Amino acid sequence: MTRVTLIDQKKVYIDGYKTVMSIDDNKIAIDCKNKILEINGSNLSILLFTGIEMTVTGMISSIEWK
Amino acid sequence: MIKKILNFITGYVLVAIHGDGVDRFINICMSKKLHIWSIKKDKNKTLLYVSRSDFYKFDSFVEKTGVEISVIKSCGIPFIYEKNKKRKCFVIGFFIFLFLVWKFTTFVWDINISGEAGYSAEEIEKNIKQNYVKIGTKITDVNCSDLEKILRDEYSDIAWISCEIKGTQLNIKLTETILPEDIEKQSKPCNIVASKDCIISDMIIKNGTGMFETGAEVKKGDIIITGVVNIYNEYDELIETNYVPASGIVYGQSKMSYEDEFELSHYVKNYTGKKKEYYGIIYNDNLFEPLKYDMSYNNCDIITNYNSVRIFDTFYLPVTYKKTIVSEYEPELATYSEEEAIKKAKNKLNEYISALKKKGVEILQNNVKIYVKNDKCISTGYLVVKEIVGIPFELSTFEQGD
Repeated sequence: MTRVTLIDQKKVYIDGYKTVMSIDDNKIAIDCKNKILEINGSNLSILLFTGIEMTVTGMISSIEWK
Repeated sequence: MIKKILNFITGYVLVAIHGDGVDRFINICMSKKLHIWSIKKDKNKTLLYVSRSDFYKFDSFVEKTGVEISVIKSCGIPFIYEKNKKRKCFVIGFFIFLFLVWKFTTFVWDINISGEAGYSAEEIEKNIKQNYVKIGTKITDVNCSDLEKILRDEYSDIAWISCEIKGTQLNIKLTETILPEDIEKQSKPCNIVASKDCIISDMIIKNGTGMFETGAEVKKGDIIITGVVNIYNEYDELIETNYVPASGIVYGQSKMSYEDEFELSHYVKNYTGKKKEYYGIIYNDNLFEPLKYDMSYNNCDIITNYNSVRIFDTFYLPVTYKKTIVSEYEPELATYSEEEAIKKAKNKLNEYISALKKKGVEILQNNVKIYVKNDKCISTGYLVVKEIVGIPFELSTFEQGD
């Protein structure tokens, strides 16, 4: 199970990810086992991660499951 | 914040990664649980921070994923150490400097006194330096509460005193009593006599018998409060005579003459702009002054400033910095206008009055006239003042036996 927590438009915590598919300034795609989580926005970056948890920061405009 | 400090201690690197396998490279780093953070895309490269120890593990992944890595900056203590390895003397000197600075913080290098009124700060400072806390005493050897007690006992007019050490400075704040000066308590039988010719304006008798009423005119040396106390019975017969130390406060009103004059013509200093500066350092009362004064100017002002070297506000070091400025001037003869002269004379009179007030003298009337005559500014007249006039005077054996 993947848990996604959004704080304002500035931070997203993703708990239970598998791999990072792509990193871009406007989009970060993360493989969450069964689905792909797409975070859109501007000035995005992966602030830090542990083996199971990841923090993405930036100006977040949308989060989509694909 | 703690993480940032830890990263700085262990060292970290900002790297830029180019190539097609960047995502794979990051995923491998994640799976190997390398300490990387702040991953960000910047145009065609990806920037990330990695800890120093994990940075050396990158080599094997670089070959696998085919990415190129370039170091943008390296931060932290290990890198600073690496960079300065060749500058051993500099590093050793830096640590010696840190050690000396730390060592100097354990001594008192300056004494600051504030709040004094009757006593002078220099007088108190000199006494403390000579008898209690010498400059260079260890801070741990200074007992502030004991010092407060000693100073309170020594200076009877201190109403409140606080000693504290801030940095390397001993701060002494004091408040002096604002009550009128009390007459020193006498243990031997004595009279209170007038210290000058005056009219008694106020009198508080604590011990003894008053010889005059308020409003009476007394001459210098007259007994105002006598220490001879006669005890009578109900038939007004003297039964006993006691000799006591008379005490009390006697205020007297008197005239104080004021005379002052000065010439209207005087010299004014016109500074030519030529000046020379000399510097010196004083350490342990020894002056090191590389240049000797050049006294080629005919007329000059020599102004010397002494400043204790300090870091921040209260961290004084045992070194004093001396700066001397020798400024040349041409003396020019000038004359005060009548207005200027009168203004100057008024200022002098006000300064004189302020000095009297500081001594506790109250000015009741100012009858000083200021005028200009024969190229001179003359101030003449008198001040009507109210002050303490009663002083103790020991009883003679004749009086006691009489």
